[in-house]
Order: sequence, then structure tokens, then C-alpha cells
Amino acid sequence: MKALFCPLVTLALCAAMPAIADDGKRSTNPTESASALTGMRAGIDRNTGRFRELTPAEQQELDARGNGRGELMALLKRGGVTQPETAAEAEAERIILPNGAEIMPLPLELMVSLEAHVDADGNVVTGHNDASIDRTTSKELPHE
Amino acid sequence: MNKPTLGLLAAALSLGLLSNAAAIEVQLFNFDTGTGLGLDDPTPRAPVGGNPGQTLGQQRQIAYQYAADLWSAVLDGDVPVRVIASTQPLPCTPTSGTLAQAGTRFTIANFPGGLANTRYHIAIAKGILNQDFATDYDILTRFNGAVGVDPNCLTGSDWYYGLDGATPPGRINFLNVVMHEIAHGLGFSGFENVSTGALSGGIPSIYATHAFDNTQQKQVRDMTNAERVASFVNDGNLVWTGSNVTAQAGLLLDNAIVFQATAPAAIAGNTYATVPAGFGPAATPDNFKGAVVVADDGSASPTLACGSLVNGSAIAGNIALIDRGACPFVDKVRNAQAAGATGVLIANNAAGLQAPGGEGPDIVIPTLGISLDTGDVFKANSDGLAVSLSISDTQLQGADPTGRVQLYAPSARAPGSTYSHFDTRFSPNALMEPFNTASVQANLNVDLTAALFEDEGWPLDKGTAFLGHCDTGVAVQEEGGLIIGATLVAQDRVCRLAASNPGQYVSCVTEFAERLRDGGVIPQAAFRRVNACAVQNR
Repeated sequence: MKALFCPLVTLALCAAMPAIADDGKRSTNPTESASALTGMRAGIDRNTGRFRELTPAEQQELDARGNGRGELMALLKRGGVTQPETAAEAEAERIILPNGAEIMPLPLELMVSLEAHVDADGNVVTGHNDASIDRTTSKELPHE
Repeated sequence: MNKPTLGLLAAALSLGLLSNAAAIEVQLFNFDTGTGLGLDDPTPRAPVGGNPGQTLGQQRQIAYQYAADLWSAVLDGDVPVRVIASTQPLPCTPTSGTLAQAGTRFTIANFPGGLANTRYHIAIAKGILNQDFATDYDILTRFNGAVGVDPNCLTGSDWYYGLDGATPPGRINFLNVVMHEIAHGLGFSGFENVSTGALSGGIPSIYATHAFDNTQQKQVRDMTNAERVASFVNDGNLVWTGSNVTAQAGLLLDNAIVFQATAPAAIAGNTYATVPAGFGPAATPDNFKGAVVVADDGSASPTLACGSLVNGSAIAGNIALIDRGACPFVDKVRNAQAAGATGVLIANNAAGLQAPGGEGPDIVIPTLGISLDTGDVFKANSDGLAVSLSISDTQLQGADPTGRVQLYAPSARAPGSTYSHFDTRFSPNALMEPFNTASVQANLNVDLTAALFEDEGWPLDKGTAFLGHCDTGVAVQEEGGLIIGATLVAQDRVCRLAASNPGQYVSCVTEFAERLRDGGVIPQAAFRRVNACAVQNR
């Protein structure tokens, strides 16, 4: 049982943003990992529950705009936060404690993305995208 | 703020240096502060759907916080869970874009109180230990702030920032999506790679501990990588074995629609697995029943139905049975439709089930995929063959015959959706299905999500909701996922924000409780207690 007693003097969220700091641990180039960040973007019509994949033109156009990794890294940097991009980088940061506990950051490539597109009827349909999957291994529903 | 490093975090856990904090609180950290964008966007907006914010940034913050407050109320303990929050432009085009990204920032294994050799989301470990050993941010979330702002981003659509679940057509319910994404970070995800089957850091996740493959008869955690890859596309056969979810499934899920043969006598009553096509209308008990006729297009491989059917007179008014292969699914179905078929069964040409895909806006008859084995049985019994869809007396829609709910494992791997969601077979729709639906009302109901958290070890608040120090007597949550008490707690904050004096606060809470009462969600006695608490807490 509990009640929340967050000070509500303003409409700001409960805590302030941390000071901007860059520890300079890691150099990241969003374009280097772009191919690994692009997965299937199939969606489902929220009214019918049916799959509808993006057209090649839609895929290309979205790809051309990047995967958002650059914006994410900028966001984290602004907050003085770092996050490994790949599983290998994450494992390099694994820590084993004296009591046997192990802590490891989750790589950004394993975080979930939610994609959306507008279908031919004007409906907004959504579906998840896994940044870890290369396009070549992502399969849409077979057509035959 | 001086950011702790992972090392400092680890040292704290090891030495037990950090004391317990106040009640569990999913805390949002605004990473948009000072940008004038996203959660800071000053663009004026009229209040909407119970969200009193008067700028776009305020409305986003309020809805974001509402979601955090709901999860705060549902989860029990004395530790904070820190969430990075941002609503900035993400990649987008007029017809497509990224809506959100989320995940736990750290995983932890082999900690006291956790299962051995099992990797947990850091937030679950904090809940189990009831210790704030991780002073870094626990969860990363961000949402696309260009939607509804940039006319070239998902043109014509917008987020719906209302808190009432009344999502207008064409809008995306922001609260639902925030609830969904935070839930991924709290525990609703496995860390296993759905493409390679690899474990994260060589240790299986707590999610994999409860995910089970009915075909392999193995938990996902106990499989080889190759077995996991196979399991992640074993449509309908990847299930959740946690006792809380299984026990509550019957309270939530509808009875299943079962596909069975009704004739001939040799197979009548037998049931068979199906998978819906990605085109055409959904199959229902009303539109998918009757005689089945094997298609014949007059070619050397007549059952492929890649050409016009030559047995149209037999097909007309009946369900066509067609084999997969050689031409697009939609062409096969068009040929059957042209011959007058009322529905189509497409038998796979390989092991397992395969959902027929493709674009067929002109297709008006339902199509189901069946296995190669089922197709063979049907062809061997084609004389007088008839089938039906019916409502099961015993099986649940979204669960296997033993009542264990199905996880999303489509035969065509759907990266990012596969495995870490409930199956789209669920009826009614669930918060943690992979695709956001307007029918989900996470402001009142988190269906089986909280039960899944409990299966993973999260303590849940099984008590009643308080406004300040006043007990409303309304359960924070009930089995089956109703979170009415949690909603009252979240609404309490909104009413404080919206009210400029104590009287307005009381009116706000009372009006909200009236809507719950009038909607049959709480009884009159509970309404009176909530009203009394509002007066006491003003």
C-alpha cells in the first residue's frame, strides 16, 4: 500500500535532469552500425490485426533517415549517460562482484523499438523493430 | 548530478552501502530539460481526455508520469526505479517512423534472492532485494516527439495524450505506449537473441526461465542456441509457464475458437491448428464452415491453384483446399474466390504452420494456413470432408490446451516482437501484445502483465489504494489485471496538478470516482470512501 507524495510545485517531472557530462569513455559513430540497426518494420493494422509490411520505397526512405541511434547517443550524452551498443561491448563492461553477483549493461542493440506507418486506408499501424537484426535475416511473411 | 559509474553501483551492491529509500516509485528523469523540445515543448495545447496540461510538453509529462505512477502503484517495495524519459524527434517519414525505444539498462545475475545462473532486469532485482543498490538509471525510454508536430512525420496522425483511454480514430494512445515500453524495461523481455538464439553473456534470462516450447518440451533457458532459434518461430507452441499468469488467464481470456473436421466420420471431431492469412477478412465461426473441396487448376500440379480452377462448379459455395507453392498466396486465393469459394485452406509444403502473407485488398473470403500433415489428412479424407470453427468450452483464446498463455512466435520471425510479447491470438487484446491497439486501456487494466512480473519475482502491491494517509478501500489491483486502485493513485497526482485550490482538488477526485462508479468499475460504497479521502487529503 502506498501513496505518492511527489512535490508538485510545477509540471516538471519528479526529478531534474542530471548535469551534462561526457565521460569520453567511448567513441561512437552511428553510421558504422546503421546496417545492424535496421530490422523488419512490418506492422499490423490495429483495426483488423493484419500484417502490412512497408513498401520498398517506404523502407528506403526510412533507412535514409537513419535509425535514430545518433539522436539516442546525443540524448544520452546530454544526460551524461553511456550505454554500450553491441553485445561484445556490453560483455566487456561486465562486472563480477565478490559475492558472485554479475552486472552487465544491456546493449542498445537489444532494446526494443516501436515502429509505425500509415497504411493505404490512412490508419496508423504499429509494430516493433529489433535493432539487433540485420535486414538480410529479417523475413516478412512469405508471399508464396 | 554526479553520475555514479557502473563500478560504484556494483560496489554498493556488494557492500550493502545504500539504504532503502521511500516507497517503490518509478521515477522519470526528464532528459529534454532545457531543450525547448519534447517534454519541454512550450506549444500551447488545450487540455484533452483528463490531461490538464496546457502545453504540449506538459501533456506529455503528465501522461508519462501517469504511466509511471500506475506501475509505481502496482509494484510493491521500498525502492526507486529510475527511468530516462525523452520525447524528441526520431526518424520519420510521412508514412512511417520510429515511435518509441525502450529497455532495461542493466542486467544482473547470481545475486542473493534471485535464481542461480539467471539474468534479471536490474529493476526486478531491486524489487526482490528491496534495496536501492543501483543508483544509475535503470530503464531507458524515449518517444517520437515529431509525431503530430512535424507534418512530414506520419502525416495526419498524432499521439493522443488523454488519460481516459478514449483514443480517437487515427491517433496513437501515448499512455498505452508508455505503459507498454516501461513494462519492457521492468521485466517483460527476454535477453536471448531471437535471430541466433544466443544467451546474453552466456546466462539465460528470468523470462527464458518461464518460456516453454510445447514441441521440444523444454524451457527456453535449457535449449541450445539452435533449439531456441527454432522455438522462436514455433507459432502457437511457445508458452509462458509461470503459475500466476496461468492461474489468471481464465479470468481474462475469451474461450478459444477451434478449427475441427465435422465430416467424414473417420476424422470428425478432430481439431487442427491453423494460422490466419495476412490478407482478407478474419475467419469466424460464421464465415468459415462447410464442405471442403480440393482445388484443381487443370495443370500438372492441380492443387497449387496457380491458374483458374477447372472444378469451379464443385468449389462454388464451399471451402477450397489448396497447396502452398509455385505462386503467391493471394493469386491462389483469387482463383478460388473467382470460382465462388467461401473460404480457403492453404496447406503448407514444409513442416509447421505458415501464415499466408501478401497484399490482397480485393480478397473478400477468409483464408487459413494449415500444416502439411493436416493437408495430407484432409486430402486422404476429401470425400465428404467438412470443417467448422467453433467456440471451445475448455480452451482459452491465447492459451494452449493446458491453459498456458502463448507468447508471440510467428513462423516468420518478427524481430523485436518475437518472444518478448504475448501472442496476437489473445482475445481480448492485451497491453503486451506486440502491436498497439486502440482497444487496450492501460489506464484501467494491465491484464496479465502484472501476473507475469510476479512470476519473475516482482513483489506486487496486493493492498488498497491510499490518497495521502487515507485508505480508499479500493484494491490497487485485482487478479485479471484491473488496476482501479492504482488509477486512483495516479489520478490523485493529476488532480493536484490541475487544482488551484483544495476545493477544486476534491471536485477533480470526486468527478473521477463518479465516472468509475457510473461505469460500474467501483461500487457506491467505494465511491463514498474515495470522496471522503479526497476531502481528508485536500
